[in-house]
Amino acid sequence: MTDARRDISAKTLEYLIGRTALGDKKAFAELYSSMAPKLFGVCFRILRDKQEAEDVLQDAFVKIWQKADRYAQGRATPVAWLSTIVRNQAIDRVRMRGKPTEQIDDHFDLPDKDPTPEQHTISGQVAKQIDLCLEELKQDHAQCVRRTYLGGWSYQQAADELKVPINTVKTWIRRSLLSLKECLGNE
Amino acid sequence: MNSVNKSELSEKERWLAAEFAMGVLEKDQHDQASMLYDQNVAFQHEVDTWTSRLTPMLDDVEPQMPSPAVWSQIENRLGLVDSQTPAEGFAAWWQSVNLWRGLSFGTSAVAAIALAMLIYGNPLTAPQTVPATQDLVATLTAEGAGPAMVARLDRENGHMTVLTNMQASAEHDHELWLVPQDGNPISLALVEAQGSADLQIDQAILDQLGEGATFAISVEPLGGSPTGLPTGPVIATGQLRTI
Repeated sequence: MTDARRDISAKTLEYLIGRTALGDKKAFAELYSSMAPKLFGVCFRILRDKQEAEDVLQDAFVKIWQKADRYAQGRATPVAWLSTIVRNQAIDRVRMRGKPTEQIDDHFDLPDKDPTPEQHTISGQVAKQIDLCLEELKQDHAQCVRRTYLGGWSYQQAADELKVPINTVKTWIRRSLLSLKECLGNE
Repeated sequence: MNSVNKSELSEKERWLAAEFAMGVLEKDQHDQASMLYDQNVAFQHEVDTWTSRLTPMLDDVEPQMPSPAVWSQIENRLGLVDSQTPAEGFAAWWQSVNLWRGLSFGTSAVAAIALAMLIYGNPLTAPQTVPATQDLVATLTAEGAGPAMVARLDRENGHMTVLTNMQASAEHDHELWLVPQDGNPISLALVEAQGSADLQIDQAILDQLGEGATFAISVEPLGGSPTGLPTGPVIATGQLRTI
């Protein structure tokens, strides 16, 4: 049997979110077991602290249960909807610290390796598309966008981390977003 | 929600949406964007579109196992452990409906009252014409219980997906109705008590399914209403909303 966690489709996720909106506890548990590892990775990447990341994951899933009926009102893909709740919760937390994130271990500062074909994706084929689009950007701009997004950095944090002036970071990111929009299209 | 519905976004708001989705805003602006997201549909759509574009970057994040305590804490906080499940809650409510039916010498009186309230008693907004490409959603709820059905209508393809969570019964079927502002309810389909279904909607009915159109679910004899009109109690109602 293939690992269900790897192959969970957008359609399945949509179904599980729909069942969750109806108060189906089993569907919610399934949603948790299929998505928690990935979403925990997302939290941890932003917070760099296991305990805090677990608190945030917990808060986020409480929200997912409470807001599941609002999923259908939005236009995000199921993965985008779930990860937005998690990211926003983590970003709120990190911004509340009111101080820059602690110095990070060196290995965190390594650029992300390009995803290999074997690496499973949580969002299916679109991943390839965004990698292609990022490749079209200047390398340092692409790295800046990727690391800022994954790190949940504010413009200021990105400037501190990358040791470039904040206005430069803003320009890089805004310019990159425009290119990405053009490259990726509307949906 | 939807207070600033459909307004065109300014250049500044479009950037705010992109930067909010990106997550780069400082706390004040982030909170402001978060509020706007709840109030302005156009802004919400802009953010959602950006989010869907950017999320694939998260594929690079290594999954990690959170400790098992996280799930138990979630269950505890939401009261999911050893508590009444929503279906049981629904069953209790269902029994009270049965009792009610017993007291009213049958089902049609109750249905008539419920539908009369639906048709005449509620100041329903008139269904409005909407662009044919827009999707609409409806959540049908029963008083005092959680949602009994959620529906999503794809107007363009005349396709409606429904998910249901009702008390199953071997003696009854559940029938889904469109309740027009004027005239009799129109039967749309029999729906399973628990599950999902894809319904194909005729063009004539589709024309009536705009913003504010009302759905109702009634309990009917097996095989559906013998008269073509609801004969059993209406157990849940809800209105279509543009998304």
